[in-house]
Amino acid sequence: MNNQPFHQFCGTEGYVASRALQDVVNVAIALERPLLLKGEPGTGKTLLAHHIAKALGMEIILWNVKSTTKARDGLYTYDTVQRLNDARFGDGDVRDIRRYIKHGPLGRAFAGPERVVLLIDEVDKADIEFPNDLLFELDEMRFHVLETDEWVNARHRPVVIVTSNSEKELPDAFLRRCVFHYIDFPDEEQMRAIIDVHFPSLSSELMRSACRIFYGLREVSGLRKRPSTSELLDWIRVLLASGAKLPEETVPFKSVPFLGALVKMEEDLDTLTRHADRSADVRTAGHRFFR
Amino acid sequence: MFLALFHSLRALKVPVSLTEWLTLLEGLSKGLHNDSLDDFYYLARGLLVKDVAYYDAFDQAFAYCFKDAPLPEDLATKEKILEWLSSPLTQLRLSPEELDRMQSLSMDELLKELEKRLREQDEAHHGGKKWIGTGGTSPFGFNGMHPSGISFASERSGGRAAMTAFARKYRNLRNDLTLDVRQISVALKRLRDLQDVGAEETLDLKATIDKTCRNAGEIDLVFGRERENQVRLLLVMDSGGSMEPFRNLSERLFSAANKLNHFKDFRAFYFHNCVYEKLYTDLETDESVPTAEVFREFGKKYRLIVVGDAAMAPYELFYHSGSLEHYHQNATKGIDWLRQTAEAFPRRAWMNPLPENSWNHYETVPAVGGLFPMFPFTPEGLGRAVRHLM
Repeated sequence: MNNQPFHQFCGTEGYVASRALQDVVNVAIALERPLLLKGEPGTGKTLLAHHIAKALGMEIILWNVKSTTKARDGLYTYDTVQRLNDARFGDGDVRDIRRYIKHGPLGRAFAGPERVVLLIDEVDKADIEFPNDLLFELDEMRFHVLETDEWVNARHRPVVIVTSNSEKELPDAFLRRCVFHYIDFPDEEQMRAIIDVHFPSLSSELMRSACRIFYGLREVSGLRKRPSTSELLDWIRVLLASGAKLPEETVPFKSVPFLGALVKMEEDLDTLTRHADRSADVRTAGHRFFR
Repeated sequence: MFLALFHSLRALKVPVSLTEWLTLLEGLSKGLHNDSLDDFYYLARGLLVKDVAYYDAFDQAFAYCFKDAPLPEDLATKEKILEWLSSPLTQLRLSPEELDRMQSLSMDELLKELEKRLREQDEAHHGGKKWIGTGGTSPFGFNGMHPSGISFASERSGGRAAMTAFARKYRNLRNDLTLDVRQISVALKRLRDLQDVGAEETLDLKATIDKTCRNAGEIDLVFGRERENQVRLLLVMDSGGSMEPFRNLSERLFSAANKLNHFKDFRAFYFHNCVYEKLYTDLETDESVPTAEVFREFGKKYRLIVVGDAAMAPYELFYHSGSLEHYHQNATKGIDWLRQTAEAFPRRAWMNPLPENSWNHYETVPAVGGLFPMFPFTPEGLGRAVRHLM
């Protein structure tokens, strides 16, 4: 059984978490399972990890996964070049191989004296086998350092948050060990609560028209990237700073001030301002699937 | 008492394993459900369901177990139909006259007929002319040869089914999907041409030790360059129309190639019926690029895989302005566009989802096959295509 104090996460003052989200976070913490988060970009997957760390008073360790990331990089790296160099110039004790073992994010999360939050961000970017390569380490919470023949054991099981943007599946074996949650895009009511957290003194009139334009924009079909929460917040910040007024009549969105803060892609701006009948640029075309 | 939930989830094809079930029990024993049905709902969903596609099925099962809601009726019916269809027969060959006769049924007539037969039929049936089943000439069922029939299968069905009934619901049947994406990934990984690229920045440990020894212990670091795959892949897919039953296959090929992180570059375009002067980048918005620009930009450098059944009406291929869409007012015949495509891409292959032994029954398939080396869209055929492309 779990000897840790039962941590209760209920969102923070900077992050509005739905009931479902609070529940799964607490379940993942209590069961010591990785929490897998999926959802549209901009729904606050990454941000959640930071706020869990803040709410629980733990340190957060980031592991940004890239296409070249190997599972082993997260555990440790062995700095051969440094050791060779030291041997050549007689610096320090080169016989102590441990000096040249550097822990990666997962290694640091295991070896640290305190329980930490480990964020494995955008796990789907790596090779398809990447999550499977971490199964043993995440299950047993220890790993083997080949060069020194030593085991690194986790003193405290870290709170592991995994985020993924991919629509396709992660390996089954990995999924079986996770707690899964899909973050829905916030509805208007939730969105108002979120805006309220960030801009407590926003006038209700601006709030209403901003939401109307924002959700209207999201419904325009054929947008490459629909605006998300973070873009809405940026946009409101710009509106407040500039003191611009929102127009009543907004279709076809031409008259919306600072549209570029909400819609980032040139083609999308074209779509909104009705210049979409030119053909796509062949040099950048062909990266999407049709459904 | 909760076992009912487990079994109804399994019945609804949600891939729940025993491991996950035991985790749920562990969660319950720790009191994580807080004695509330809502919390139990989130607890169970977080632990048992790992794909948002199954959230709906989970809700149904949950309502069935805890609110005495019935399992949806249409779903029960579909289950029954799929069960009937689960033991397919081999393909049946039809004479052209028979094909013509059957083609005459309209969609409305077909749907009405389907309803009638669903009421009359009460058991599985394979190989006949009328009942819903597999391998027959009834317009309903799959693997059959009725040219305008309603297909219940979402892949590899033989005829040009006018509609793929229920496909949406069962699109995400997990096991076959991942298996296939995996198989395709494995095959595509062989499309590889490793070359040393970039700056010399990876330490070649073996060469370093060797050189250091020769240097009497004086450290001599040897750096090498990374080896990177140089293959660029261009995927051009037929979509809609007669390709509708094979949509899952195209989707899998796309997601396998897209997810693989393996190619130097990967692009995908779409066409309807035949390649004409435009290739689509997005079928929802009809966004397109001129085909000639694609030739200029990607030809020679890219390996081309075309996915299509090449089973068009002959006029689409051989006559001027043969395209279905009225705005194709061009003077170039479909076959000429295909010839230009073939000339622009020396390394090319055509994946055909129709069974290989049926190709000669369509007038247009051999004509296209003369321009593009054609392979059946099977694991084995994909393997051959990849070997051909290297």
